[in-house]
Amino acid sequence: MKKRLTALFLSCAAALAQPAISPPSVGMVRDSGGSVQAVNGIAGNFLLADTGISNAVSAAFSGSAGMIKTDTEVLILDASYQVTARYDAPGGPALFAFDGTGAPALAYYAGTLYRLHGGGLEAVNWSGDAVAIALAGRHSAVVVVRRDDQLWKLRLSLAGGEIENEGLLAGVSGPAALLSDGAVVYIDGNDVVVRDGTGAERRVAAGIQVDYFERMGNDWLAIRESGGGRLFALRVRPDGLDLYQVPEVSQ
Amino acid sequence: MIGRAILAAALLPIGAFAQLQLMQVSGTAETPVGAKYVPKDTVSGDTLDILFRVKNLGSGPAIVQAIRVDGTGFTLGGLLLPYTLATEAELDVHVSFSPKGPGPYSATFTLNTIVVTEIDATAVPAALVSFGTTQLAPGSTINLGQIEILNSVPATFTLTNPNTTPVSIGAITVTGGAFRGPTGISFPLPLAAGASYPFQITFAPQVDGTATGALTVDQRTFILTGLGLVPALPKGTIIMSSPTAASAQQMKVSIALASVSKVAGTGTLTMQFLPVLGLPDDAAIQFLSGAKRAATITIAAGDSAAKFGGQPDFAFQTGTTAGSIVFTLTLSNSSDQYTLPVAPALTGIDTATGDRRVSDLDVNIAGFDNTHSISQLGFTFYDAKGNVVQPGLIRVVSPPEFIQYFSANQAGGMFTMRASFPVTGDASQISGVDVQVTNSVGTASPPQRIRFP
Repeated sequence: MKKRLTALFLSCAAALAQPAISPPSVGMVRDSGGSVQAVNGIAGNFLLADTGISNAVSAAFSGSAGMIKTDTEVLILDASYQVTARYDAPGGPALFAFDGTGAPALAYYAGTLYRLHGGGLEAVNWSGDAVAIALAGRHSAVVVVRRDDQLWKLRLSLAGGEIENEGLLAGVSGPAALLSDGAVVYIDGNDVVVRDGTGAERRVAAGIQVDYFERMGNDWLAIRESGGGRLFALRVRPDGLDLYQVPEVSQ
Repeated sequence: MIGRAILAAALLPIGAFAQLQLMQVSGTAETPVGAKYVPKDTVSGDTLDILFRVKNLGSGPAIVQAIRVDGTGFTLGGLLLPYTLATEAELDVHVSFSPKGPGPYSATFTLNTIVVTEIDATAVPAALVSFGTTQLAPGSTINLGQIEILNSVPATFTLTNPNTTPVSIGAITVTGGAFRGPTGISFPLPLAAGASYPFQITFAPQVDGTATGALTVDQRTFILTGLGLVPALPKGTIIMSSPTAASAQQMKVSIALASVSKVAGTGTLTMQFLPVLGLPDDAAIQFLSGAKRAATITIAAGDSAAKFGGQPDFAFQTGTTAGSIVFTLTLSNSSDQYTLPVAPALTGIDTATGDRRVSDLDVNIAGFDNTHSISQLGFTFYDAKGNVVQPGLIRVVSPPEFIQYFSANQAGGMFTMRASFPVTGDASQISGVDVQVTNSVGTASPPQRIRFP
């Protein structure tokens, strides 16, 4: 045992001569003009860099992959914001979701839910007015759907589109997002609220009206203030919930 | 004698000085004066200024040796005589008529030795108008001073009857957008002999600049004037959301006004970063909207604080480089400056994670070093029971990658580091690692041991 560990750390010491250093990355966001911006930095210290992708009407990034909706296409991006696939799509916004590894998994637009399957977008046999989507395991999706003035949380079978279970999201209205663990993010008064599967809530003061939520990184959610207002970044971690403003400045 | 002289003047209007002609001037109009000149009626106690003009119509120069005005109540304005008038030249002569009581008045106007006209004037009884202690002549200008626009100031005028009989004031009117009144008086106003009566006019300019108006008392008009001033914006003071700052923070700046602003205005707030010696600028030190390091502020009338795009404060980032962020506020008539120091600090750890691969252990750290001076890394690995695995702390001194990174990048002191450890033994025995990062301030560590999943 002792001999084995000694061999291990001699190797470690040699490797440390070459640590890889680079600017930290948070993810990507869609700016007010529809251009997709890479967000570099750390919490509270962001720098934006144009990815060269424009005319985005929806965007999401998991930290290792991205999905973008333009008026005519759905684009799949790698971790370096390079387009790796593109699919024709009708106009209008979209919702996106990733699997547990950060790979693109679901898209929703024009009233139809799709899953990325076999290198293509495969429609799920379900339709509704979805507000937020997430993957729930390998074979199911969670959808927050609007029915009249209420939001419901459904669990769907991706194979057949059957509703496996559903429940009213009491006290939730307006824009909402689903995190990969099934937690719902929404606005309540001045607060951004994260409600987990047990109903437990965490809050952070925001004082804004929200236009939309979009995932922008591994544990980051972009929040656009309504009326084309400010862009915020919500960091959701097990031990913290923090809200920052994303710089949108002219040079 | 006077009659003969006037006759001569009528036949030869200027007698031996045939090239000279006497005119009466009203505004820009000139009227030749004949044997008799009748000015408009004058209120007893007022002063009427009569302007005559002597013109040389001849082909050669003419000399004005003397001018006289003889008659009770008439006064000749000052002249320097003799005066030589070249061809077509002219000389203005002011005659003041100040009747002490009502009735007819007359005077002769003598040019050199010739009486060229007789002035027949009439004084009528009426009230005199005074502003303060100054009696006002018709057509005179009353300056009501200067005040800030949207404010007002009253001015008291006095009507006085100097006559031995009562007079009646039929109407007083005030014109001009900056003037209001009269107040404190009603009409018709009888005024007994020797009596006085005050009334007020208010100067209330709505716009800046010189304001003019008119005060008319029956048939006499006086010119009103005053100056409207734009109130100065109150002094602004830069207020920080926190008096102290550290790197990688988002803070807010606001502008408090020394008093409620009476006017609308704009200004600018700029930020400048002065890094500590030897460090470069940090692009992340910026406002979070608008221009990177300049903001326009707006102030509306009634505001006690300036606004940024309608918001009461404005967010900015402190970046990840030590130095001073200098904010400069510029208003139209004042300025303020606030220096926000960002002190050199221990390396800040934002995230610290460990990854286990087939034959490697990765240590990932994202954070910032606002001194750009990381000089040593330390790693201490632990087994599943929490025991330090020999040889204990492994130090890497002066890692060149950090030096190269900080000298080449424009992103301030933020960095992400991945240190990969190839494993030749049983890597599953390694459960976690403590990391130390040393810069010029000291040594920092993640708050918790990094675990390998």
